[in-house]
Amino acid sequence: MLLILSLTLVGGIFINQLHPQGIRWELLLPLSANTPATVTAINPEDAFLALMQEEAYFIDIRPAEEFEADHIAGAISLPLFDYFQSPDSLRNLAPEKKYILYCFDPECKEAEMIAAEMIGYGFQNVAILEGGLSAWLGNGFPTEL
Amino acid sequence: MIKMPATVKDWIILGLRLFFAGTLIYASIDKILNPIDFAQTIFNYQIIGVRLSRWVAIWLPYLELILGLFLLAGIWLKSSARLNLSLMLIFLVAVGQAYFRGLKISCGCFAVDGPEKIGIGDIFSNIALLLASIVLVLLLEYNPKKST
Repeated sequence: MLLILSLTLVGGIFINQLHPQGIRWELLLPLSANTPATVTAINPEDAFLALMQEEAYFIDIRPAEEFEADHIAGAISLPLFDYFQSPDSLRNLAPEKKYILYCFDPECKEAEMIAAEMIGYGFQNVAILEGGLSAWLGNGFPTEL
Repeated sequence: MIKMPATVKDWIILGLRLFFAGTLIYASIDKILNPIDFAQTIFNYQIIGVRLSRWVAIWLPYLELILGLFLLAGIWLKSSARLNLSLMLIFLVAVGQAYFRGLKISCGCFAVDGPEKIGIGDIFSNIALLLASIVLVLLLEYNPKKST
């Protein structure tokens, strides 16, 4: 049994490196942050306040075409698939700043994954927009093209 | 190798082998083609961390594929059947805990980003798969003609 488990693991690693949509090696290595930070949720009202007071940067996890259609003012586009292709895009952000991640739908597992990754890189203040962009729009808050 | 069954027990073993071989091979294909989406699916179960979920995403589909092929070809049959049982147990625990925690996630059982959310039907189908895998292991254990 151990032989089957070992062979499939080695084979999986090898094929993943050749796979055009494989997971890059640096995204498999353990995260080394010592920070006790956790991902929090922020409601649209508080997020809007943070936007007005320029206290936070917004990160849009949706596909690029949806981001281009409309997004929260000043938001950074970071589609999940693009992140897997260019993981350095997160490392270029300042870890001491506050970031609010969002998708369109209330259920945004992709944002949770990216947020967990950011905490692992040592980001101290990462939140997910409650209800996503749909709740933001539902509250009548503005977006830009 | 697939030999013509001589007894009812052999027929049941052959049927279960072919069933699990087909199921495992079919289940592995979409996961192998879409490792990033599958890593997200695993992470959504909230059992393991973000990096470990990626390791599982690049390993589990190939384990399913190889187990399926081994069950089909009769290679290391007892070991493959035991591993298959272990997988079915892990799947049942993963799906069960997601259901009872109320996680609104897709199963990812056969397609990594299927629209369906985990429901009670997934629990029952996983229980059925587990029971079938137990039957296969027990029949193989008590069949001295089969190789390990």
